[in-house]
Amino acid sequence: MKIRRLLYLSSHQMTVFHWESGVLHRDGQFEFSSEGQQKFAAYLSQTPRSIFTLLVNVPEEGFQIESIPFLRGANRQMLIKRRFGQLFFSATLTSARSLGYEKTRRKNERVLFSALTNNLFFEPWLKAISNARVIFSGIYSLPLLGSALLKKIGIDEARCLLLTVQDQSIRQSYFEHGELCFSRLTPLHHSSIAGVAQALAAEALKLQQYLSSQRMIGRNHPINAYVLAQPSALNTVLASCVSTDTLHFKVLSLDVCTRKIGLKTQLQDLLCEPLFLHLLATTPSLPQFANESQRHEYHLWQVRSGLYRASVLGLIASLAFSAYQLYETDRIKQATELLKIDARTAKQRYEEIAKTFPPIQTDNETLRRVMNRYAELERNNVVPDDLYQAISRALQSSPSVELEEIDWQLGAAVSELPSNAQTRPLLLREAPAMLESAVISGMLKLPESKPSKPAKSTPRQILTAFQQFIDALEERAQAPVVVLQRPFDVESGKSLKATDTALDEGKPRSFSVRISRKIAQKDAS
Amino acid sequence: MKLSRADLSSMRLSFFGFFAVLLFGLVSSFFLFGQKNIALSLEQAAASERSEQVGRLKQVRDEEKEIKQKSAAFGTLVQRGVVGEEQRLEWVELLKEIRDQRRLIDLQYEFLPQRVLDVGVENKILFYASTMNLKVQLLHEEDLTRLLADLRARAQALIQIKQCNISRLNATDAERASHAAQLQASCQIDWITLREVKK
Repeated sequence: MKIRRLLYLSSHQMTVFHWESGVLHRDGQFEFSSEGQQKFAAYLSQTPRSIFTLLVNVPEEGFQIESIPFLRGANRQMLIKRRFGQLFFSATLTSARSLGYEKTRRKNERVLFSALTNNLFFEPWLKAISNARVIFSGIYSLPLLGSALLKKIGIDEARCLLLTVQDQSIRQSYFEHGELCFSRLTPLHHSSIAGVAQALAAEALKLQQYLSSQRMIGRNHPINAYVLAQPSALNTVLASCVSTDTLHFKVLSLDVCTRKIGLKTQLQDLLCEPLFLHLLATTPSLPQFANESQRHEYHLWQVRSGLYRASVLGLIASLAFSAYQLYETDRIKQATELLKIDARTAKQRYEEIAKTFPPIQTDNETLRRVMNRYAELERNNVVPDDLYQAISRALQSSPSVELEEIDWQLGAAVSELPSNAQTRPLLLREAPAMLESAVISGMLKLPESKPSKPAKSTPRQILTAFQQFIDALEERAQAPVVVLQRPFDVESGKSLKATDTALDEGKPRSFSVRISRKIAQKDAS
Repeated sequence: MKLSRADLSSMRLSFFGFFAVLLFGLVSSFFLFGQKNIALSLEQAAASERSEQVGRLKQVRDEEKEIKQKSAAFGTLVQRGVVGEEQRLEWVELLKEIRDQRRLIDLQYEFLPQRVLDVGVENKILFYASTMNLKVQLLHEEDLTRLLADLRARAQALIQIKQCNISRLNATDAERASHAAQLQASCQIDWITLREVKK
């Protein structure tokens, strides 16, 4: 695990803090001299397992709010780079922060351009950091942390001033809607509380006048100036900072601010560096000034850290997934065992019941199918006896009829069968209605009244006798009779000749009929 | 950010650790997931087996009486000789015996090759039919009905009469008086047996 170390660079010295869980410890202090810088380089080489972040508080800086056209990606970056060249020529430590888009114009973007303009001042310190190849997360400017401070302590005003004291200087910043618009640093010449209080009051007034002259605020527009001071110095500061019509002083207790931002280190004097250092350690996405090459080691650390976190997360996830799978597998195995026990019990009971059945060569399902089919065959199994008897009784009441042939047949009712030849045998197995039919052929001859002189029978008499036979047959067989051949064809659809109706003396007339009936289903069970 | 060869080399351990953990996680997860799937399929098989056994038990309980009846009826068929291979020799002897008993004139018959009755049906036991074309001369039509009744009662098969034709012979009065055959009958009869399918 890397240790978070915060570097605080002012005009005359570099101070190193060790930050851990909201507590700041001072690790060392290095003067702005070649000796101090050498000591700083030595210190860096002794603390390789750290992440360093630099907070600077120097007067050589510039802030400029500009509007740029609505652009994205590389074009926007190129434009910002060009603006930096125009605004802060030769400055290498720059930072651009978007303040949002204008609604009244064509979506122009408002950008705060910030730069640390004295490259020579930073060069030895940054060279030492680069040479030590430590993890360096970036360079941050103290006034830009003012926005985070105002937000944390709950100040949300359209315009306000913030005055803080740190390392023999007074930082005065102007904010609009919580965003920094201007800042400047004034050296402190008095170290007494009263002197500092007077300097705060004077510098606040100067800043207000400057902003007014720059038309950044209205000339008679009142503005609040927030001053951070120790509780013990509150009365002295309040006595010096007298509000006017346009400038209203509001003195905030450093203890309250410390508590609100979550800093656990107690501040002993008026100096506010620990406040900003804590904000630096805890606030994400702050504008920073270092370039990519200066942050290269930090990016590598981010990749390593990401891989490490992903590995840990993956390991935990896979272990959790594996544990869940093991649990599920065990639960399923137990359920399977219960199912097997149930199946065995059911099988045993089945076998116990099956033992009581008469011994047969096959299983119950086959037996059921076979016996059902057998019963079906038996149901449709008829003999022609019944129909023969019916015909015989009909003949008894029709003495003029003499049979020649009876052609009996068993078959399915054709009208109830589908035309599809493939399904036909299937349906036949499913007990279609069965028919028995018989084609009866015979001769019809009316009896002679006197054998010596036979009377000629008329066609009407012949047909009447034939009809009587059909009626008798239908009555006895309880089935309809279809005439295939009449003794005389007198239907309208057929031709009728004189020779057809001319009866030969005593010559019998042949006929043919068909009788069909459904087989009465016998109870197979 | 651009990574140089030296950067990649310095992060070798991190990448190795990451991929090792990833590999371990994937392998263990896949293995255990596979084990769970195997257990699931075994559970499904066990559930299916249980369902089948419980179903059989329920069915056998519900149809215990029916199965006993069918078993008894099947036993009767076995005793009658309806179940098993065709006994054509027995059939021929039966026909001869009936012919002699009933004094039938000129009993002619022809058995066609055996065929499966229900084509397309899959079962362990199938029905087979052998069609017999029968021709016999009769003194009286009752000779035919008696013949058919004897066959149905005594044959070692289920007798199904498909067709029967009785026609008058052109006998002279002298022939009729001498008790010669008056009628000619021709029938088509299926001899139905059932037997286990050989696999």
